[in-house]
Amino acid sequence: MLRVLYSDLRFLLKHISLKICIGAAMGYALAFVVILKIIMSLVTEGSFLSGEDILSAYNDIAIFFITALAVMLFTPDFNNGTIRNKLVSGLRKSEIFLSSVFSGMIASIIMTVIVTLFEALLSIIFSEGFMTFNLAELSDNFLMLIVTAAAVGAFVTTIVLLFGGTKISYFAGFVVAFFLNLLGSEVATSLYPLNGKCTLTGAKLMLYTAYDRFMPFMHFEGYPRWDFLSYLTGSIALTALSIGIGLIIFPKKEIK
Amino acid sequence: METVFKSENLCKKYGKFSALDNLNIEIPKGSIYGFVGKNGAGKTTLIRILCGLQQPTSGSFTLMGKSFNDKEIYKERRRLGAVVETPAIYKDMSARDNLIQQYLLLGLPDFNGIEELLNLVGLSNTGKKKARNFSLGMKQRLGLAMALCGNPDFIILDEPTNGLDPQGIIEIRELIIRLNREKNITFLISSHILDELSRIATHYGFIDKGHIVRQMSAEELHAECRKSVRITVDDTKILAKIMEERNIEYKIFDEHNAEIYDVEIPFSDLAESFAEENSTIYTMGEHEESLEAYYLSLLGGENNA
Repeated sequence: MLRVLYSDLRFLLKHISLKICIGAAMGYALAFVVILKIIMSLVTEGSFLSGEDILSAYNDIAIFFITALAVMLFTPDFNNGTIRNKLVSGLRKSEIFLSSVFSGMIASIIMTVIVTLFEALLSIIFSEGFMTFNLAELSDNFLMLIVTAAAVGAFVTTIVLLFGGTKISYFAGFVVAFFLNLLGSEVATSLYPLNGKCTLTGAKLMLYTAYDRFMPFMHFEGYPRWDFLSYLTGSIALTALSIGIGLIIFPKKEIK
Repeated sequence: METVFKSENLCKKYGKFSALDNLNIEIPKGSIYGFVGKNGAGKTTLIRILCGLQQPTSGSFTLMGKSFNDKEIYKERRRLGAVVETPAIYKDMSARDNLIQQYLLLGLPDFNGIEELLNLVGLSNTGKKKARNFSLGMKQRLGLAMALCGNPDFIILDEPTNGLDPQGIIEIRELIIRLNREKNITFLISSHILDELSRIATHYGFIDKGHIVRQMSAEELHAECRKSVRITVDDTKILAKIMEERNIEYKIFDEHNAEIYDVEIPFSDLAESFAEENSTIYTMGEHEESLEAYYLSLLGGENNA
């Protein structure tokens, strides 16, 4: 298991996908800041850009960057046939799966850490400062983001691996990410409407609240709203679920 | 006979289509096993099952003595090297980096053998050039080098000479023979180039419609390949008449060229018969049936092997 993990980690560090995705995410954050700055200077008089705004740039669409990274890192294994080398090298499919999921989690963390640090740098340069959070809270949020990124990385890598070798693997992750993003927006706007009070009641309120509290994707929606333990529980549950399902299905999968 | 791979009534179905149909095959240890069959005959399916990429629908096999349903069979696969269909390489890495990846996968303690492997397949001067920019022949050599990592006992090569130039084909052929003789590595080679295969194979397996039609050693094949006499005459109609009278099997190619399948026939007898018919024999020579011809006579295929 460790030998394939070592090999996979070396691959991900050497592969251009990680650099491309990090570059794209940093470019997005920079463009976000520049465009907002321009809009604010031209249109909205008296408004200013806070550090929190900049820090949320990547978070809002992180799931898409993580999915893109997983697709770019793991589909070549099926397309180039290198997964065959792993099997012929005496590795079990379960070991290959686990190693890829851990690599996906690590790649997500690396990207999230680098892009968040870059956003912090942009905040120092372009924002008027942090209006809501102090340094301790920012550090907390950073830790939550890392845990979330790891869980999301495990989830999307599992999707890519389960569909690996088929054309579906290219877009299945994005479809799921898009759907979850829509669902997340719906939950967030229902629970925390911009105008007025939350009108949800009963089971729907409970479901939406549980989703908001435990679903790791929700941690990317705006500012953190729940304690670290809730984020951690949701992230661990999603990771365990992804790995569990993957370990049942992937070993039965026929490799082309 | 010690075997590295043996299957019994192996079946693989894709829906209603049987890719392997009660396939029985034995690959002797230390052999160069030429695996011959038409496209879609089941060659690659068997190789995939052997490599653990797919599971058989029914039947059984043993690999290096371990049964296919033995949970430890994956350990035996560490003694395998394989190039299945296309060379499985990391396109964004150099040849050396690709071999390092394979060394890591195999859990080898150091990278000492990499330079030797690169020299062996003629890729030592590729430097940092990415495999993406390699020619097909170079990719094929790199795939072979990856299969050779960790000194395997059994190497599976699916079309190993694909994309190689004549010089490259000769080099790979010599490399296979050398590895087989010096290190006693068993090879399973599936190839469309039957003439090339006939130069190296010590054993053959002919597969058709998912089952083995015939397995034989190179000596047995040689003994079975029909000898014939290729003959050029002024009129093959007269040749046909003479052969019919003598009840000798023959085959007409065109109005001047033909082949007769009785190599014991005295030339003087034949010349006399032609003279009686006022016909002339221009040339006559003994000809041995090639692997290709034997393959066609066995499987009667028009498609490629």
